[in-house]
Amino acid sequence: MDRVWVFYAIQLTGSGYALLRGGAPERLTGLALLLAALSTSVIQRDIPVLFAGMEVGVMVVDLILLVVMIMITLHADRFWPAWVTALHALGTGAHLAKAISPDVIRLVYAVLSAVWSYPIVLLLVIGTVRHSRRIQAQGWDLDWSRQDRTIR
Amino acid sequence: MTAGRIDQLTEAQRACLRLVLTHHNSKEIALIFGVSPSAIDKRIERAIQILGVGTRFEAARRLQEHERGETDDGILVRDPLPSDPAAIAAIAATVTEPALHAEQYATYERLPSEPFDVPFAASMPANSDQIEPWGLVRRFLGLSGGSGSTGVARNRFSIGNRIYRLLALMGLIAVTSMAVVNMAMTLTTLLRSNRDQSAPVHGTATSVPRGGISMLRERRRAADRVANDFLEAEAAVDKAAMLTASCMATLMQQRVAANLPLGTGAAALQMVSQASFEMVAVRQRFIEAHRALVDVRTEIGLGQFYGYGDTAECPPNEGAMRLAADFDTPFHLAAVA
Repeated sequence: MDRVWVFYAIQLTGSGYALLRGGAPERLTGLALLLAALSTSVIQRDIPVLFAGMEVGVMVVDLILLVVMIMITLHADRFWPAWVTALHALGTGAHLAKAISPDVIRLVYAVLSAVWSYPIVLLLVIGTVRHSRRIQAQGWDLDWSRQDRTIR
Repeated sequence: MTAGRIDQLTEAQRACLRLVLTHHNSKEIALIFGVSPSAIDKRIERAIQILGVGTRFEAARRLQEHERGETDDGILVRDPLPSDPAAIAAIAATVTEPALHAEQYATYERLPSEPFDVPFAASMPANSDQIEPWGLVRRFLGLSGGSGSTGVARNRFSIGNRIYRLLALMGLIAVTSMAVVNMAMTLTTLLRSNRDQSAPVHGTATSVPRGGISMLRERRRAADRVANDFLEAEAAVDKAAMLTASCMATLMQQRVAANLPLGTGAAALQMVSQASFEMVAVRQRFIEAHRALVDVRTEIGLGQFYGYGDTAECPPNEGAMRLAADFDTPFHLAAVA
């Protein structure tokens, strides 16, 4: 249980930093990750049966988050969202694995769908740091690639 | 007297102060000049020091008054006010590089003043976002045309290219992480099979009994209680066997120590020896019962919780450890099964 609270603390810190200092992609990702973590904790079932069967609620939250992350990846003027989306897609893939073969052990299912969250927060923080460095160095930083009129 | 001080201002400082007067903040000014906001702050700080005033707005007003005075003197060499940001940027460029554009610099120096009631075009478009209800969302999403919306994109990939790269990244991460997990598993299996090659395999059943989680929990609780009491009894029997054996030895030793005849206490020794023999037999029974109990666990579908899947070791049990701490005499009970 302690591990869960540690993760909440990490997530809250990372998202808060992104919301304060990030550009639009960082803010959006930070907010989306925070909302996903909170709604997962609300939706998921009691601990004794958690991850014993398919976690439909958690899966829905993961899928919505995946869609948001894909949209950010496709439009943001950044490279890190691709990594975040790839990691999160693998985490969502755990639900698929469980759906295909119910033999997957509880622990494996839980670890596979949760372990990616830590590198995701790390990537978000790194992205925000780099964004604020660019703002400091050159005074501006594009949020979305289409804001540059020369491409599209 | 301030006039003399105003003459000490550099043209760059004056340009900044003029923008201050039209309510540009340091960030916007920095954007126009193409330098960092902190550099602008320093420039304005310096101007405030030269003029000896309190705030940057006061400094800007002083400059305005001074330049109005010059206009009234009648040196009217007025250029039309540049209205688009590009022209402002051009002027800013000449200001920041005075040595390169000496002539333009001179003409700009003669510019008397700028009409302050005409707002700059650059500061206009943010207003619509501040008024309309979705403005906050638009600004949060970075869709409003505020600062930072001009410049060269870093990520110039098209959407299709990004999807392709995303899939490639997923493959890369999946393969790498699974390779790491596989390595860990392989090493673990190798080490384990080296350690207990000959041990019998118990608790390999993987199927969870039908009937729900609560039943499973009841069974686990029952198994835990049985294990607790059983281990206690087992340890007690082991201890009793040990004490009986040492009692027999003591009997024989003390007869010699007390210099008594060989026949003394022979009947008692015989009985204690018999008791010791039976104690060892009881101990053997417990060892067999231990094996049987582990099989019971597997039977009621709890094998996977205790056997750790592929190993033949008993999981560390708190009851056994507590008992080990209670008896100060070293005792070791072979944890069979």
